[in-house]
Amino acid sequence: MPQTPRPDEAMTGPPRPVRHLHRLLDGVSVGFKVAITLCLAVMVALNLFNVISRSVLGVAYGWIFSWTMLLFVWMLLLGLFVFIRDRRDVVVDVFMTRLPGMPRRVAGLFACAVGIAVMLAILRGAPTLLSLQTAPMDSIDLPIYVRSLPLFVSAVLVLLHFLLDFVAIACGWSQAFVRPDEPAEVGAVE
Amino acid sequence: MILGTLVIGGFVLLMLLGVPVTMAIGASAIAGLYYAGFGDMALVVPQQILDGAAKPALLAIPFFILAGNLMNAVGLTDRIFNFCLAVVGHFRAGLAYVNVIASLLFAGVSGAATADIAGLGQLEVRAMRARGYKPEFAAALTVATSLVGPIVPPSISLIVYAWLANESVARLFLAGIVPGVLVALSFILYIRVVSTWTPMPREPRATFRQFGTAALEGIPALVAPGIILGAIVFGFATATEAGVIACGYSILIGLCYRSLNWKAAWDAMAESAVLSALIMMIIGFSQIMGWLFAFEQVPQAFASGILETINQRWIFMSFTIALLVLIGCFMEASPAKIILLPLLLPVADAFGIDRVQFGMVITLALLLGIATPPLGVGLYLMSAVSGVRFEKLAVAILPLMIPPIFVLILIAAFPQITLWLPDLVMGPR
Repeated sequence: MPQTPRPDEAMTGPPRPVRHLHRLLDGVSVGFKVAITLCLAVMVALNLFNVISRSVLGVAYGWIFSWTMLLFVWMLLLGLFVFIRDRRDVVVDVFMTRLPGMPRRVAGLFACAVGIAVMLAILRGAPTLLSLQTAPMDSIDLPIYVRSLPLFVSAVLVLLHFLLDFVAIACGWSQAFVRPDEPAEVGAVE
Repeated sequence: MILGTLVIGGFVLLMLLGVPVTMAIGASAIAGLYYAGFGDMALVVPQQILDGAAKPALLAIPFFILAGNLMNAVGLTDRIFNFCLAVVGHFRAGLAYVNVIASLLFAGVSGAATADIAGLGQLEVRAMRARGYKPEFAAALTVATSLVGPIVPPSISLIVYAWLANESVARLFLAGIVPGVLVALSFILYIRVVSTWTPMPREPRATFRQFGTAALEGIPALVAPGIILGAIVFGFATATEAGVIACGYSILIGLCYRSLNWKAAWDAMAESAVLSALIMMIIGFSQIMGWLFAFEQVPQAFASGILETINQRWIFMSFTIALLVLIGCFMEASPAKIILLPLLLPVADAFGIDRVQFGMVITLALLLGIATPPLGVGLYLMSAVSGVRFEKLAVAILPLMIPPIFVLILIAAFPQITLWLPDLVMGPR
C-alpha cells in the first residue's frame, strides 16, 4: 500500500548527517532482519528435532521450549523495528492521500508525532523494568532483562526513524502519504 | 463505558488519520491510561507489550505462516493450481472455479489470507487475465476466495481466538471445516449464476494421463491438512508442534521435488519472521488496551449495558455481525478481536451461545474486512501484485461479498453447521 517515501529518496535531499543516519538505520534493519530470520530458523530446527525425538526415541527436551520462547520474543521485538523501517505496518491512507498538500503534510507530521510519543512511553518504563528483571529466567541461566532488552533497543531505533521522518516532512525533503499515481519527489523525472 | 468509547473511538480516529496501526493502538491505549489515572505507572506500557507478545499459546503463529510461505517457495501452489485445472477447468468459467477450489486446498496448508493472495493469487490472476477474464474480476475473485484461508484449519485467526476465549484449538479447527467448504461452495454458486450472462471461457478437458499426473503432483497438498489436523485432534501434537510439523513437511516436499533452494527457503523465513513480528506486535500493543479495560471493568459494564437493551439471542447475533463487519472495514482483525472479544464474550455466554460457534461468526465477520475498503489489506496487496487500481478492485469486489455474508448468516443462525464436526470427532460437551 502507498506509504511515506524514504526521505533519502526525497525532494531536495537532506543534508549529509541525515543521510548517514538513514543509511545507519537501514543497515541496522538489515542486520535485525537476518537476526530474526535466524531466530525463526533455529526455532523450527529445535522443535522439529524435539518432535522427531519424542516420536522415535520417546525422549523430549524441556529446555527446547524455554529457548524457543526466548527466540520467539527476540524475533518479535527486533522485528518491531524491521517492519516499521520497511514500512510494512498497516496504514489506512485512503483518506489522507486525497488531501491537498498542506493538510496532508500536517497529517504526516501528526502520524510521526504519535509514533514518537508511543516510543517515548515505552522507553519511559525501561529503567524501572530492567532494574526489576535481574533475577534469572526459569530454565535459562540468563537474567530476565535479556528477554526484554530488544524491546527497548527497537523502541530507540523506531523513535529515531519517526524523528527522521518528521524532520524530512517538516523540511520538505519528502512527502507524506504519496499516492501511487503521483511522483514521490518534486522535480523527479518519471 | 466512557473510557471504552474514548479509547476505541480514539483508535479508529487515529487510524483514519493515517497513523500506523501499531502506533494507533499504542497511542489510544496510553491516552486511556492517562485518562484513567495510570499516567504515573511507567511500567505498564512495556510490561503489557511484553506480556501480550510473548504468549506461549500464540507460538504456533510464526510456524503456520512459515509453512504457508514454504509451500509457496517449493512450488506447491503451482501443483495445486494444475490439479484444480485438471478437475474443473473444462467447465464454463473453469478458471474461476479453479480459483475457488485452489484457495480452499491452499487454505489447508496455510493459515493466512495474505499468503494465498501473494502466492497462489498471482498465478490465478495471471492465468485468468491471459484467458480473457476482466482483470478487476480476476483480482477481486482472488481476494474474495482468499477469505477461505483463515476459516479452514490451520488458521492463525482461530489460534488467536482460541487464546482469547480459552477454547480448544482442535475443536475450533474442526469447526472451521464445514463453514470453509460452505464459503467455497457459495462462491461456486455465485460464479455459476454470473457465468450464465457473462461470457467466461472453458479450458481444454484434461486427458486421463494429464489428470493422473496432476493428481499425483497434487497429493502432497491434499494430504497436508489431514496431517496437520490429525496431529492436533488425535493428541499427537500441540498446535505449535503441528505448525512445526507443517514446516518440516513443506521442507520435505521441497527436497523430494528438488524445488527448494537456500535462497527461496531464506526468503520464506525472512518474510515469515517479519510478518509474525507485525501480527504479534499488534497483539502486544493491544494488550495494553486489554489490561486497561479489564482493570476498569469495561467488559462487565458493556455486557450489562447490552443485556439491558438486547433480550434476544438473534438480535445480539445480528448486532455482533453488523458491528464486526463495520469495524472490520477500519480495523485489523487481531486487535479488533483482542479489544472487542472481552466485551462480547460475557454477553454471548449469557445468551448460551457456544464459544466455538461464536468464534466462527466473529472470525468470518472480521475477515470480510480484508476485502472491504478502506482498510482492505487484501485489496492493497492484490492491487500491488496484479496492477489493478485499488478503486476499481474495491468496486469489483462488492458483489463478491454476498456469498460469504450469506454463509455468515447461516453460521450465526444454525449452530449445528459449526458444532456438528467437532462434536462428532471429539464428542459433545
